[in-house]
Amino acid sequence: MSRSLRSEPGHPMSPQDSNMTNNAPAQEPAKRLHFALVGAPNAGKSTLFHALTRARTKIANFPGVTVDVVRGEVKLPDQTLDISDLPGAYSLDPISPDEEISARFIRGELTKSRRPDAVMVVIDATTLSRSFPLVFEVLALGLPTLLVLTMTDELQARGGGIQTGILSRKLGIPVVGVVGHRGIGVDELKGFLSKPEDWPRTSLDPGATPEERFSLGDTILSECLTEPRKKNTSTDRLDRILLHRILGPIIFFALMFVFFQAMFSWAEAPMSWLESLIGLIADGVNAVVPSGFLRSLLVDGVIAGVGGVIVFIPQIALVLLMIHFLEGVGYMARAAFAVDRLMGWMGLEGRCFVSLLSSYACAIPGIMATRSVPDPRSRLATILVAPFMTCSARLPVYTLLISGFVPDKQFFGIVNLRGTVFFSLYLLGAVSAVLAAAVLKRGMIRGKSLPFVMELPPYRLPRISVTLRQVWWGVRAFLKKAGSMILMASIILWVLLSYPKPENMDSVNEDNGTTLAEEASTPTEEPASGVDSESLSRSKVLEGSYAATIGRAIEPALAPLGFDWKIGVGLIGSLAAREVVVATLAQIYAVQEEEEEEEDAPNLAARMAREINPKTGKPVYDLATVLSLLVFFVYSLQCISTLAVMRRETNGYKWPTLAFFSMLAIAYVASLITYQVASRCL
Amino acid sequence: MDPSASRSWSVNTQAEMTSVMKSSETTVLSQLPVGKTAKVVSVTLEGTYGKRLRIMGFIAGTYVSVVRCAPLQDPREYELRGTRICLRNEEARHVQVIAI
Ligand SMILES: Nc1nc2c(ncn2[C@@H]2O[C@H](COP(=O)(O)OP(=O)(O)OP(=O)(O)O)[C@@H](O)[C@H]2O)c(=O)[nH]1
Ligand SMILES: [Mg+2]
Repeated sequence: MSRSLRSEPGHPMSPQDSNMTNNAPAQEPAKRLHFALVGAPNAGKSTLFHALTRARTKIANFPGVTVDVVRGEVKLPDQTLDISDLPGAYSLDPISPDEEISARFIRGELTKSRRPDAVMVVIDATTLSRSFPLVFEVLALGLPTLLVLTMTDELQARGGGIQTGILSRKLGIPVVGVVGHRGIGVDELKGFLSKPEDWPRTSLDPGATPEERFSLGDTILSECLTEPRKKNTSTDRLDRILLHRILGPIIFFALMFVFFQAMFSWAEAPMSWLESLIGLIADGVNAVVPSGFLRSLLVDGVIAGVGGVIVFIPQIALVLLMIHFLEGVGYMARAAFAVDRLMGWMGLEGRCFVSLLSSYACAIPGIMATRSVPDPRSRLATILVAPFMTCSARLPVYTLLISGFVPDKQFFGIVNLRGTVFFSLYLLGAVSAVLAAAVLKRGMIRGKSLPFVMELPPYRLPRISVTLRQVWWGVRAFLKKAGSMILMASIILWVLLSYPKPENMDSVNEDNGTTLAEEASTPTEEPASGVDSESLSRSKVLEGSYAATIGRAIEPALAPLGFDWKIGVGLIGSLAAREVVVATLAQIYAVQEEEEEEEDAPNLAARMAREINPKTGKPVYDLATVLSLLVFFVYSLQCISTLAVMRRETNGYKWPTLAFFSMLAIAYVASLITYQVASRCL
Repeated sequence: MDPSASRSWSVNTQAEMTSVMKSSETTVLSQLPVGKTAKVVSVTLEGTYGKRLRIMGFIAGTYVSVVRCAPLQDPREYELRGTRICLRNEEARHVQVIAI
């Protein structure tokens, strides 16, 4: 609802105005026309919306993709129009929150948005015969209405056809056939948009019950529709395998397993390019900025911190690609169908599972997606457990720890230990989420679940451009976060890690803002003694820094989990966003860098592996600590943005607060058990 | 059961409906075996969800066929009016049909 912008018109020629002119001046010439796209879920509204406006909107092949009003504008030669893409709805008598948004929007009941001047009812031409209840419900509203038939290409491919002229005459309203993703028919449609008040209005009695509306529709269709001769055979064939009782789950898990195996090797090359690029930038800064405060801030703080997180973009992009492919092809609805029974035992339903799967990209769209779940209690349970799903913010943490500390072992030639651990973490997140939802639904928010009615769309090959665009949006969101929240956290951490300067060190530190990159670029120039005194000073600063004080204060609580104060500082930072832990560790170990002198700047994981616990003389990051840290990140809810969305979707602070603290507690206990067991057994 | 209905996926007239009723037995949708087709007689579910089933096309005279059941038997996938819809048996129990 946040995006259901108010639509006071701006000046027709200055589109940017539309969002800002709250109280449009009285002399404003003409109101901008406002159209709404209404239709059943998965009818192709967002595809058409994109073809008309080029605005950002998510497109995928399952019902319930759009869950909020999305605004865009169409530029005609003589004017600019507002168009709103609405969530799919089978009826204006809503059963789920997303349908309710559409129903209220079109009646002008949403406080933040203007009622549309005209409606485009978007109907999938291959399912025309079931679409009449909605068409007549919209006609009964009395607004100028136009019928858009999408998927006319699929209807034709299956040997069917529709005579739009006859349909238009019978209904008494304009009818336009389109192929949304190819832009066919879009110009004809635009031709209608300039004068909705001139559209013919229907003279039919729209009826009152579904039965009346269906029979009216059936009569009309008998004169203009040629039923498709062929069934969608490829969908049937695929479903016979993918929804097979035994083969289906096996194939799904096998594919996911292979994906996570492959992801590691695919991401390797682009990741090392990014690492070198960031190394070059650091070298550049070192060459240009004189040694001292500013250089240290830029290189040890910003570049080490933000750069340390950005190198994980290849993994993030690959996971997003996989999820958007599954969504685009139509697999999500099958997954919901296949697991609905399992979910039913826990008081949930299949659609909750789709929301959880979408949370693999990011918990926020996952939480939003629960708007298509009719039962409020199931919806709440799903919102609360969505953060257990392995979102892409966890990827940097997992990748860093796994690639650094899990041996690169190969079994049977194809199974890689790292890939397997990775896959297990994803599985652990999903299993935990479902179990937690079951506990919630059985305990706190108990109640009988509502019926489950869901449409299964045919499989469709997603357009490469659409899928890539959606991957890019995800990567861009990550970059934005790196440039804002992670950047801020890195700067704050740099201050906390570099101050206060020990008094007797002041003179040494003034001219020795030494950095990893500098060391690496001039490995032989410094005499060994110089390195010694320098590294000594750097370590001293770190040991006496504010961050160390804070970290040591919480160290007793974290020691049983196998964490030292440095990890503790990372965990505190990561409460804002999970990636910050990587940025923190990158900074801490960049500061300590001078202790080594190597040809290659060793990467972060290698530096961490060399860290020795002064008390025991053993490595800090032994397998038990690494596993414990991984488990901590599986469970804890370290993401301010997710909490904010939770608050908005549940209308209050109660549930996000509860989720935050209970997940923190679960993370603590799970890590404790992991470390205590692992350190004894391994 | 409007007499004006004349599409291939629905039964046309009251008379035809009665003749169908005589020739076959009524059952509920959840009992219909996979692969079989039936005609809807009525939806006995009350309230919003009953109405929703009718809006989705489960109205008297519409042909419904059972496409498959989910790996754990429930829910099942049905085809009607050119679309595929899945229903739990719990709800499908409330759809009266005549097997053909
Ligand atoms: N063949 C074909 N596919 C289309 C057409 N329009 C949309 N699609 C596909 O249909 C699927 C659904 O499209 P969307 O635009 O996301 O549908 P929607 O109506 O916005 O769906 P919700 O947001 O869930 O209500 C996608 O896989 C599209 O690629 C069309 O004209 N022809
Ligand atoms: Mg949409």
